[in-house]
Amino acid sequence: MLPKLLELHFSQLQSEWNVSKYNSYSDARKQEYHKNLGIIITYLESEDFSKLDDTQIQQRFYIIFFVFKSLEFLNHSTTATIPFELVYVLELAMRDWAPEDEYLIVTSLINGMNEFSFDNSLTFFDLVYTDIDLLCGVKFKHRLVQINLPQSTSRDYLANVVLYHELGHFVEKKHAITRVIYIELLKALKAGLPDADKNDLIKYFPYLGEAANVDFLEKSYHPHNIFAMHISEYFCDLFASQYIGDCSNYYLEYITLNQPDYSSTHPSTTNRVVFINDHLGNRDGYVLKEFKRIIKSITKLDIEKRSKDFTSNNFENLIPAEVTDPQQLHSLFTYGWKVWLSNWETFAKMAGIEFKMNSFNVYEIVNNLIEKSIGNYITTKEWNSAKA
Amino acid sequence: MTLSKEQILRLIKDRELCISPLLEESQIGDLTIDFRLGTDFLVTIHGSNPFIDASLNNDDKFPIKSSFQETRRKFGETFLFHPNQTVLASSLEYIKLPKNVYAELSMRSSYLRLGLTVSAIVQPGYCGCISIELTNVNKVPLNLTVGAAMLQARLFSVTKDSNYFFKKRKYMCQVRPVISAVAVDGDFRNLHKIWKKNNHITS
Repeated sequence: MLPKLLELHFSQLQSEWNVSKYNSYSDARKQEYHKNLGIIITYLESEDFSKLDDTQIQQRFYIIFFVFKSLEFLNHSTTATIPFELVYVLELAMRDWAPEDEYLIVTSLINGMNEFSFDNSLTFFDLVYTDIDLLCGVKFKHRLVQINLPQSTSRDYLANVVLYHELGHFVEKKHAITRVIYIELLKALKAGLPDADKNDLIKYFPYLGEAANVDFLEKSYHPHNIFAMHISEYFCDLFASQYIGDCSNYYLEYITLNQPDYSSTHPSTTNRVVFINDHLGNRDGYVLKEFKRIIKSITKLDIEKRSKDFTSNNFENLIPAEVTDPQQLHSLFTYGWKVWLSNWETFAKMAGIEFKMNSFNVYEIVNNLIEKSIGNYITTKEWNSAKA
Repeated sequence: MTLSKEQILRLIKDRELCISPLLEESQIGDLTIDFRLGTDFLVTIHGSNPFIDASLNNDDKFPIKSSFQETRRKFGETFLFHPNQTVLASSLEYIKLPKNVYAELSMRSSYLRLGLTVSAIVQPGYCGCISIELTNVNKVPLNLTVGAAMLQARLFSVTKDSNYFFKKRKYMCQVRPVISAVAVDGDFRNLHKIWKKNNHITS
């Protein structure tokens, strides 16, 4: 790369920095992160890019990218509109699988339907953190993870169960789970599996029925090849089901129109639903057993139910649920889906609603009550800890 | 009849009155209940609309929604409230009133003294966070803390039960402030018809 091109890239960053230099964050951790970005920019300003060799130019390119992306994450992260109740619950789930103090979750509302994702582009970029430390003497205490969710459905707690699946992608990358499952399943298949196990494997990954495909996949692992992508999706479904049971199946069936065929990136919806239902129904076949064994060996954690059910008819009485245990927060989504799928006439009768409710009335009631139930839990917890 | 502290506590115990969260029992005084400022706000903005249109005579060209912007604060954070600004907020507490009790809302005197006013009635059987229409009549901005007990309500019992949900409601179990639904009032359709007839408008 020509040094002049790096100059251009850096000038763009300087232009962005002129706007965001004085950003102020109520969260001291974000403020510290922002201060670190300032140190990096000051360092880069002192450099003469024309004297750098190709390797150094490439290194600076990635550092500039890192600062740019960090600013993008921080600038778009604001509590002004974000459903922080939802973020709180996702952070809770994240802490089961990653140290609490290592990651800083930021959020962004995206203008696009179904644009749910966890942006990990800064999370696992280990080399750039090392380079920044060596070059500028900056050590980041936290790494940024960005939760993206569609603006139009940011308060839709029924649709947002999908974010548990997306959180799974973060966990799966953090622990390199897909790669290990990929290698182990192919190794076992090549070594010879009993018929029942082989059939189970081919049920979920139909292309493994062809020996040529197996040979190709064995020689050419890539996180974006079909087998790796499918493992990753199955893992995320399994991960999500620990918190929300089969709720993500409903939304999945809806957005994919219950797709019976697999694509290069996703298994068929039919198979994904069967996979989760078999897991929840304790009907583990070979693939499920292998997934669970490998996940346990890597993370030391079991795939298990991580939400706590509670009995409540508060929603039917049009009041928020009384959540006393953090694990019950995940069950609010299940409760919401239960109401949504129930007979609304019965619901209205219990609630004392005399007019004929339409779907939007139920939609509003369910989402409002889930949000307030989570909000009340957070508020009460914070109040009581401040008093203690 | 104004409800006393004992009566209010009994209603809560019998699950006929819901106040959630009730962070401190001391919020319930001898004759009033203190309510806290919630996390959500709708703030009036100067957008491209020339005015806020509380009529149907302009074919909904100037929707009320365009004159408000949503903003949120976390519990304990602050909200800067400018002079002469109108802000829609809501109580932190979600309430459900019994079918024979209504509430009258007013500002606590400490906040009245800062130049804040509010006035609202909450109907029997209402459920949701209480919508608060705040105006800062002071000449200086006020920095308000989310979660502070700013409001107080007196509860009154009435002799006859009324079901809040006997007819379709504009607001159901609201937990955030909502834009005025004045334009969907049935009266407006009639008033609009009269206006068209009187002005010979046929389209």
